[in-house]
Amino acid sequence: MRDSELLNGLAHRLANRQNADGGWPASESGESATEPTAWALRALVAAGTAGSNGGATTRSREGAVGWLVERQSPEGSWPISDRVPERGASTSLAALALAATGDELLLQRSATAAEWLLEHPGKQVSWRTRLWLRWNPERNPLEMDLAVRGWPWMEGMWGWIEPTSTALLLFHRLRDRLDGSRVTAAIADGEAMLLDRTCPGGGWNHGLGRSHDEDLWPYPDTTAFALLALGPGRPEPAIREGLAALELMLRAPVSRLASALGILVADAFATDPGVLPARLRRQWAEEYPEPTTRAMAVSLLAAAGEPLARPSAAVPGEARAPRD
Amino acid sequence: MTDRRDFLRVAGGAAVAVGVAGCRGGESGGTPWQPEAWTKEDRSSTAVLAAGAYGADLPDLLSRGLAEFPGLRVSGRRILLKPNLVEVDAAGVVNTHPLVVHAAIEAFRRAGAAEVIVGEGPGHRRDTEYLLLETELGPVLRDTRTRFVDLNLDDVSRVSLLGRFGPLGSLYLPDTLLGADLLVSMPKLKTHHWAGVTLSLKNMFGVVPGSVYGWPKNALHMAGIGNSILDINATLSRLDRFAIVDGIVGMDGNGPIQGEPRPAGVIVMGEDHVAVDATCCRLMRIAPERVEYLSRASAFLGNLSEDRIDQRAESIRGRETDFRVIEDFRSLKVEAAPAG
Repeated sequence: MRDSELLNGLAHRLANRQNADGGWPASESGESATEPTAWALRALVAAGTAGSNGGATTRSREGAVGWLVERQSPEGSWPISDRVPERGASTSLAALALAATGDELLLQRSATAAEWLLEHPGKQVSWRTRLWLRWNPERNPLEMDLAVRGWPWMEGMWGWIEPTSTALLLFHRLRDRLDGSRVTAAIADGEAMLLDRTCPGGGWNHGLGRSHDEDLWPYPDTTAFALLALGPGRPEPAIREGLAALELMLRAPVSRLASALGILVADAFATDPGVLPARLRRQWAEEYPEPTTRAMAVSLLAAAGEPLARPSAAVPGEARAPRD
Repeated sequence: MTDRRDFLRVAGGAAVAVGVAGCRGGESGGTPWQPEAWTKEDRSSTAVLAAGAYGADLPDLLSRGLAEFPGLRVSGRRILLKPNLVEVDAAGVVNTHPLVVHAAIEAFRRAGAAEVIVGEGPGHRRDTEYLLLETELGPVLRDTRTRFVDLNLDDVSRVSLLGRFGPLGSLYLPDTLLGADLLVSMPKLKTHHWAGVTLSLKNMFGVVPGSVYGWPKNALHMAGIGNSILDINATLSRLDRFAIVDGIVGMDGNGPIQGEPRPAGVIVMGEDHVAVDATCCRLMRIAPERVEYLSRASAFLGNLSEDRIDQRAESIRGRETDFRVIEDFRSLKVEAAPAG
């Protein structure tokens, strides 16, 4: 555990935000939704592992598990919320959260969700269009490999960086339980998508590195998710460039979410997080702005020193830590 | 007010038959909206206020601007200000300037608003806290004790769209938006590399929740940017609306995020968003009738023709600034008058 005081404070705050139905709203108040509930459960499992707050967090975890289990469809997916039945990226997060409990029955539910995701990657451009663009690359204004699919925010749409990253994290987590060739192909597609959609200066935004002859710039959160999904020990320059871009972005005082993700990336790549832990603690002492549930949960994971990345592929890479 | 909000909520279920009819009408070449649902006013009003710099007394200026619209009901009402918060903006030209948002908060409070809320659902950055802190809007909201609602994360209701220009049919929209008594679009005066211009109508893309549609809000682009602008604004026209455009320093060229600063020294206000956007175009020396979505909007949503817009406060003439556009939109420009 890195910071028990921050961890206990966030666990308490997170538990207090839980709705009576067992789920969490995305922000200060509101109706429960799958994604914030998944993040909260993932964080409270980490808090429990770290020995935080005993009974209260245990009851919160049980409520969250109940909320998620009740809403999983028979084929494995989750709706965005009770009011929004559409399915998509929240499925990978819910499955990751249930898997983190280590409970065998919940792991089986996670595996069913992963199977659903394997069947529902992002939309693909038709082979005729791809063939035409191969011969007319100047007519592809987005300058991307249209053969790779990744995973979408919402079923039936195009793949983007964050949902692809969380799907990859789930596939790695449950790899032993899934059909070998299918999951290998899915991981290859997801990783190819991430490696194709980098920004020219390094790092990732939501998935458009260039558009209409213009370079676009990376964001801290999407860069961190992509790095966590790709994991350490890989040879591709995109990893090294992504780490450098993230380090640069985190030099400026940023949001609590960005600081926390920076710590998780530093943990995963075995680099020095520098000022980020102290900065994160300082940021949580501020009352404004009201944090999202996601920021709270990811910060708790960072405070717990909970590994979020895929397992190392080889030797940890090198990156400098951000300095104030 | 309740009737209007209920209408939008109920529209999710009850208007299916109407929606199908509208869709058929669009496909067969008829009007892609329900003509009987719109009775466009004969005339609209816009106000152009001169504002040379952000250091001016903007709360006073906006209060005087609001006074140009005596029919606008503010007292005792819940006002939702919807600025354009897009990207980290070191030069202060991408987003609605925080001081203009601050001025609007003050002006509506002075006019007796029961509550002023600021809401936005950024389409590029998911981490809204990052944007609030980086753009200095966060400190303004904190210091004025103004509630901010991340429209990307708000509770949502499914609403049937009252336009059928695109294939969407319905959208989930934030409850804070649907519950507002007055929705105030607060865009930046900018050109746009895909839509030509981005003003009070295009600014409404930011009410579509990322928690449902993701980042970027690709579903709107896939449906056609112009189509989505029209369908969203047709639906939101059932709410009371107002617009305040930050044109003190605008952006031209490759907007909405990679263009150049273009000082224009104006704030534009009005109730009819089509008329407000048309006035903004004229101030940018862009012909509004050549902006495709604006021209289509003028058929049912508001007035575009100059002879149907009463100009209040300053005159457009003499206040125009030559905003550059990218090559694809060169035809939108009003040719400069010959010298001499």
